[in-house]
Amino acid sequence: MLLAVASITAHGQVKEFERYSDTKNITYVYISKLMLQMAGKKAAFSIPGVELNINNITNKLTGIQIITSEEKHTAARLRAETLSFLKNGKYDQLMQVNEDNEKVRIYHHEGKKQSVIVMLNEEAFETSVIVFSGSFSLKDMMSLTQ
Amino acid sequence: MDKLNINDIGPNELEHIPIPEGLEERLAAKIDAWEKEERKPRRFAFSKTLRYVSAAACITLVMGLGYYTFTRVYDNPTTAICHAEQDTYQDPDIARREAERALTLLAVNLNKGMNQLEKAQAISAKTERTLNKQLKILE
Repeated sequence: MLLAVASITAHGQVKEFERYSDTKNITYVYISKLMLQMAGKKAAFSIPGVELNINNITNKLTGIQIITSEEKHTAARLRAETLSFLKNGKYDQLMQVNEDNEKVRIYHHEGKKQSVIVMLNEEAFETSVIVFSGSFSLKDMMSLTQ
Repeated sequence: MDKLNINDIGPNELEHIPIPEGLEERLAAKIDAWEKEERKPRRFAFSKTLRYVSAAACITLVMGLGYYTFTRVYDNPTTAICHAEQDTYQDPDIARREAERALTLLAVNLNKGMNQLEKAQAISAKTERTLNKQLKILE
């Protein structure tokens, strides 16, 4: 059990979302800490319109998971399962932005070893979930706001 | 004297052989002794403390092995490549672009929310000022 827990932390992936890596009609992308470090060494990370040095944040990330579905039923299932997981887990909702046909919810969980930010993006027939894992604080993430 | 073989003796002759004195009592005593021996609870091979120590040693061993494997995998650059194999992208440039896209989306949405919050705070402050002004007039 301890080894299993260690492996979750080591890979920087939230296990609950890892299961979508092999699901039909779902695109699963995982970027590890190692790849983030390698990418950061080649060229600095930058966000258009954000003048802050986001390398401070990317250095603290241990992984990014991006789960997307553009198929109506799968997208609805992904949305429902994500919301259920977030409600049952120790996640706090930070924000909800409703705009046109788009709904964005941002959740946060700060653990002793690993913190997680989950961004759930819902559109008419599309759902995308972006999961940021790492040893960052909420303050670090809020530094992305201008 | 020739030894008698029990198989050579017939049932009639067997009845005439005298039973040694006290044989029955001795046999009964022996059977009772065997019965007592069987009923006696067996002593545990290990004492309770020894069992706890063994269990703790096993857990420590498993944890130690786990930690060793975990740290070895992380410290060794060759095994670190194994982690990279689990990545969706093998090209750091594509990974960077995708990471930037994800962070941009997060930043944009955080900003949207914070901007609305600032607007709400501004409205709230303005309302408070107007209310205080009206209260002063009434005074």
